[in-house]
Amino acid sequence: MQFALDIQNLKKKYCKHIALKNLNLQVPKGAIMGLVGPNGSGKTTTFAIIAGLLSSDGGTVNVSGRGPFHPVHHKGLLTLLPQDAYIPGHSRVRETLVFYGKLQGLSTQDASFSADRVLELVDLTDRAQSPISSLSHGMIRRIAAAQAFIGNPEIVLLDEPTSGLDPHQVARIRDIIINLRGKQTLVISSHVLSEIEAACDHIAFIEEGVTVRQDTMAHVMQTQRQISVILANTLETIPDDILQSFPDITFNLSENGLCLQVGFTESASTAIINRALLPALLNAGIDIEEVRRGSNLEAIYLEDRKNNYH
Amino acid sequence: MNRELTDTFLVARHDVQDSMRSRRLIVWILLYVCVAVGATFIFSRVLRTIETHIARTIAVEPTKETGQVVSSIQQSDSVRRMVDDMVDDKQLANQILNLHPLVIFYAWFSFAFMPFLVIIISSDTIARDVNTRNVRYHLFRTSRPAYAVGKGISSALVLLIALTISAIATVVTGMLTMHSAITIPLLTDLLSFLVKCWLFNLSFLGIALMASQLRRSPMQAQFLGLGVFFLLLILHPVSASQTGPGLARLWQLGVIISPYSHVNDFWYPDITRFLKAAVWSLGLGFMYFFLGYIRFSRRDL
Repeated sequence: MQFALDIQNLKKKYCKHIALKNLNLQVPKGAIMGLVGPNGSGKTTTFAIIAGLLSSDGGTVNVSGRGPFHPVHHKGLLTLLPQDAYIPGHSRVRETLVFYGKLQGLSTQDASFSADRVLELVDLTDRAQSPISSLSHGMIRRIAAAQAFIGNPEIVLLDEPTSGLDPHQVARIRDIIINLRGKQTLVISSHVLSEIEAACDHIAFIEEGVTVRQDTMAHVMQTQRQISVILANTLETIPDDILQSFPDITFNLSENGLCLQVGFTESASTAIINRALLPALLNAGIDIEEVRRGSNLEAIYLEDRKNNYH
Repeated sequence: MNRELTDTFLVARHDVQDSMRSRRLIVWILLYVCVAVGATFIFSRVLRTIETHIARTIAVEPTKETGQVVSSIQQSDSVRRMVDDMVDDKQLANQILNLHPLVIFYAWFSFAFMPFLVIIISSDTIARDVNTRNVRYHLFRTSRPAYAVGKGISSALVLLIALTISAIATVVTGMLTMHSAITIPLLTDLLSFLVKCWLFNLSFLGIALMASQLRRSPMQAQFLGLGVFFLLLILHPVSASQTGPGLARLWQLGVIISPYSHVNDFWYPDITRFLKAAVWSLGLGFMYFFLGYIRFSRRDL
């Protein structure tokens, strides 16, 4: 398989603090990979090393099969949305984006075209001539996100792309990301796991500078043999006869009593469980609104942390 | 055009535009103009007072035009001999005595005090971008040399603009307070010293950019720039006074690395001396810039 990013045994120390210890990451070309981990786990450091902003203390980074990133050799191939970098407030929006485009190697015409395109993507065309200082925090974040999509980079690194955005803009950024599937390789770091789940097709869990799990999203979501039964009415307790009828199944009722998590063994299949369990629930007078396969990413991630890391 | 050169030019142009929009350039110019106008005004008042005293002493009517008496004195044989003895060089004495007092003042002032302003204003150029992490938007798009050199070129251009406007302000203030006419020789002499002053100050710009690349905090960079400036200011006369064989020759290094050691050559009218001084100033400026770049090229951003 061809990797857009191939990171092996990456190490980084800040004085005595070890930020990365043997981090491994392989991102296939055209994939959208989500990086998930707690604060300080090394996601931002990894992005900065990939983009050549930080030096590493060991290991290798291979970008697009052309060795470690160099802004001259990889001109225009990789872009980054940094987490908390400042864009000078007196600069005008479009002018700044055109400048970034030209610096990426685009002609003036292409840079102008690209700036207009990304402004439209983040819904800021009407503020193209405004000084950045006149924009709200959310709008500046959108400009920061827009600069990462200038030109036609093979790899886009997005560090917390939806942080500070309103729900409408979060959905917009998610759509932009989903629409790029297969066209560009995207690596996204985010604490909003529902966003990662919705947008990414690959995922890596990072803990204290180590990749503890890396897989396709589909595989991660299926390995937990679980279904979620969304109930129409609040259920206070699971009826005893249900518990006794299905001794091999584990039941977990959510705090609000509206979601029943059903876990089962490798030998059973979702279809078998549904065929037996759902009629039993209906017969017990429990109305069902929806049945979902698997669990959500957040539950899987937290379970994974609990079982494998701590 | 080579891609790196194009990037350097892009960074420099964007930075100059940015300086204009951020009002940094206006602050620079205002600071230079205020200092130049204030100093010229004080100079012309002092000159006027001296001339009035001289006129009263020799019991004649003071002239309306300030500087006329001084210009006449400059041409007298006794003063020429005195200046000859002072500078110990006939060619240099001749050059000084043929200049308008305003040009002498502008050149002396620019060589003596402008470096301090350059250090104060330019020492945070790159440190500010590193501190705010603004560099993170640039340095995956272009190389560190192109970025740092682009910033340096932009600072040099901004310095030239500020010096030009301050020279114009000096002439206008001088002419208004001294009631004398603007002549072509005065303007050409002033232009010549404007270029010389710019070239001389590029060595100090190198020191400022070195500090800016060595420190992440803009304030620390300014302190470092000022520290190096004062160190060189002291080192120059101390090193120049140390002569002798053996280890004492190491003091010559202090003479070489101090931009002030090469300022005298800018006072001479001949091209050879000018080129020598220009090469030294640019060389030292580049050397200091490069010392800072060694750190910047490897630092985590």
